[in-house]
Amino acid sequence: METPIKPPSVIKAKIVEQRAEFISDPVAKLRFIRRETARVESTRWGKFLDAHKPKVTMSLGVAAAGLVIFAIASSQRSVKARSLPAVAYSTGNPSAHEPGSIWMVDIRDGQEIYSNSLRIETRFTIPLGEEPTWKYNRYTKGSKTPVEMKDPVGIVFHTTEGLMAPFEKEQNGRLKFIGESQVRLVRSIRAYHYVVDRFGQVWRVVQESEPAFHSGNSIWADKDWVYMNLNHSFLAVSFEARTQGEGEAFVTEAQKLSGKLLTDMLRAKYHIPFGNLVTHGQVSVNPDNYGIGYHTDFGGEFPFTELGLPDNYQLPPPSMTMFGFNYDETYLAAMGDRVVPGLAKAEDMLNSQAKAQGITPALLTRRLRAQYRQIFQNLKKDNKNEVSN
Amino acid sequence: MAKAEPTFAHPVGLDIGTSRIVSAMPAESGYEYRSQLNSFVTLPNSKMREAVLRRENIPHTIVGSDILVHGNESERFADLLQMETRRPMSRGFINPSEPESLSVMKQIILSLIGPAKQPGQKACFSVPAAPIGASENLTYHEATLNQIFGELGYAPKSINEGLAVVFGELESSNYTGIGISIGGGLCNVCLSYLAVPVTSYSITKAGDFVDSSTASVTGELANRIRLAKEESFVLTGGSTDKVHQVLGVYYDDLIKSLVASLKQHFGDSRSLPKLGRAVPLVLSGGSVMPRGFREKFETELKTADLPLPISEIRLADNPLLTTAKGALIAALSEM
Repeated sequence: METPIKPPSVIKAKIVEQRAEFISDPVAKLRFIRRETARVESTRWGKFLDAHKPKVTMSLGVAAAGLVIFAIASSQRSVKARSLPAVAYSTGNPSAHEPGSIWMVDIRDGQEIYSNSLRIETRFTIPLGEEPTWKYNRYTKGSKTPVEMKDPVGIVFHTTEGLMAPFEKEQNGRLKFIGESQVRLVRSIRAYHYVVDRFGQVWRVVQESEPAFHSGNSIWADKDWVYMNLNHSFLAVSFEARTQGEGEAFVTEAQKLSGKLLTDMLRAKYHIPFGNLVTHGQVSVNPDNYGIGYHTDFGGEFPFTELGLPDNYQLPPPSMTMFGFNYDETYLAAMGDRVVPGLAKAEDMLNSQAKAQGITPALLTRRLRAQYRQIFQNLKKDNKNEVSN
Repeated sequence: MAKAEPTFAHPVGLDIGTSRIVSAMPAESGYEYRSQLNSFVTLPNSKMREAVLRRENIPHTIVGSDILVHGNESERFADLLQMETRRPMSRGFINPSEPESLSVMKQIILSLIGPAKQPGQKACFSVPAAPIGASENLTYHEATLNQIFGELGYAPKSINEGLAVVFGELESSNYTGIGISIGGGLCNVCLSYLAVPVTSYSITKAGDFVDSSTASVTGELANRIRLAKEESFVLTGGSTDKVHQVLGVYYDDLIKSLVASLKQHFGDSRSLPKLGRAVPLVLSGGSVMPRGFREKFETELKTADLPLPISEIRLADNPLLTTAKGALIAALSEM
């Protein structure tokens, strides 16, 4: 029998389809599409964690709290809920730094120039309000203290997962063509706010004041709030890269440099805390099976350190601690060992919560999931026109 | 059908159907197909009869005191002798109450593709989606076919029948759409998204249901009903022929059941991807051959308000060959 496999995301599907159009032979086309979309069906997790669990007991730094009472706050920008189990946070990177003041110096020739040498290409920026069907949806279910968000609160880092040419001088024309094609594609589907191509050029696609369709089913939290559907609260920065590159550098040095300048600028502008700088693989969830990591952009290879950031792979996923989601072996295989400490912390937090309430972890998980389901249904109702990713 | 023997160890694709087994293999200009009825008749063994069969090049096997005539010739013999053919498969799966199932199927497959030209030659064969609550049938069926192909020297791999239809027909939509195969024993349905089988299922109402129901009402042999159906039946009503009238009634029932299953299955499924556009639906299999089938199906589907938008409904280019073609394309794509 065919192994049931997970269908690709909307964005990845569009990229695959776009490239498949150039293949006329049915066998070659099928071979290409299957290779691009194949993923092994998830299996239940468990043993892997035991084998990888850190030997040293970690300090949670959090008081075991009762069940999360969601003060769902919503606005035209975002859905937020008050988070009880605050995440203990340590940067783990001594070189992580605050960006200081960064400002725009000039605008010329379709470029914005910033005081930290960042240059943003604006040729493909979608004008404000170009998409008349877009509207911010209000979500009020369970809300006790609605809060209207003025600015984005974090950044989700993505990979474009498109066609990749060898990063060589002889391939220059092809590299330029592919890079620009991907920016055009991202523009056509409002996928990200920024794309960093392989030469390190930073392209603004969706304006920061409008949402992009980058992380539909997603969860993250900081010490005060939990965010669901990060399209409405996080900016999206996508690197032209593939998660499973074939022997190539994952992201180029130019991309790391530009990524750092861009991240610094956005952090300075919106006062984004360290803990809200995460990869798509950390925030993505599958509501159908309560699995985390429906998307695994970057795997465990995002260069947090090179971007002057703490290693956020070590944070416990809020989708687990607050809503009872789980990971599986496929997720671990895709993300690698870097996420294991965070997952272990999340498990410990759940166990502590369950113990404090005198219930089993399984029962706690069911309750958390029920809460998520309630919120999710309302989100779906409110965001029914949104392209989920 | 072309008679040329394959000369090198390219993969082969097979549609293992209740009523026919069809093979596909690469040829200089496209694909080459062969087909045999998946049936047989038993004749008393005699030296003279065996000599005649051998002289006429009629595929047969001696089993004890019987001669088993299998494949396409079985129907002619059944008609001559006023008897029903026997079937190695029933309702899409190997017939557990037919003791000669395995040997006959092995002979039919051998007559279509011969033994493997070299060890490990790929053979991709179709299997139905398990009807709800009957997955154990599929396990046995698939394992048995794996054994048969293995004994012939092939490296076998199965493919869902509906997905094979998608691979055979929906290249232009990048293998996204619904493939339906309506054969003798089952209707197989598969929704594929970029060649990923998102969901598939089967219902146990198909061509044999139409034939046997019509036979029981008219008093004719099911073989004869099938011949009448394939030769001249038109599904647009207005016929004064009793057999055709009754066939029309049961075809209506078949189409209604299939559409109801589509609505129920896709309406209930939580795992449908967000396709963002309408998808094509292609109909294949021997039971879609009567003229007017596509139109009747389309009319019925429109009234059903399927939750999945459909861009077009069309018949496969050659409904009898689509599944085998799709199985071959799947095998070739893995080389």
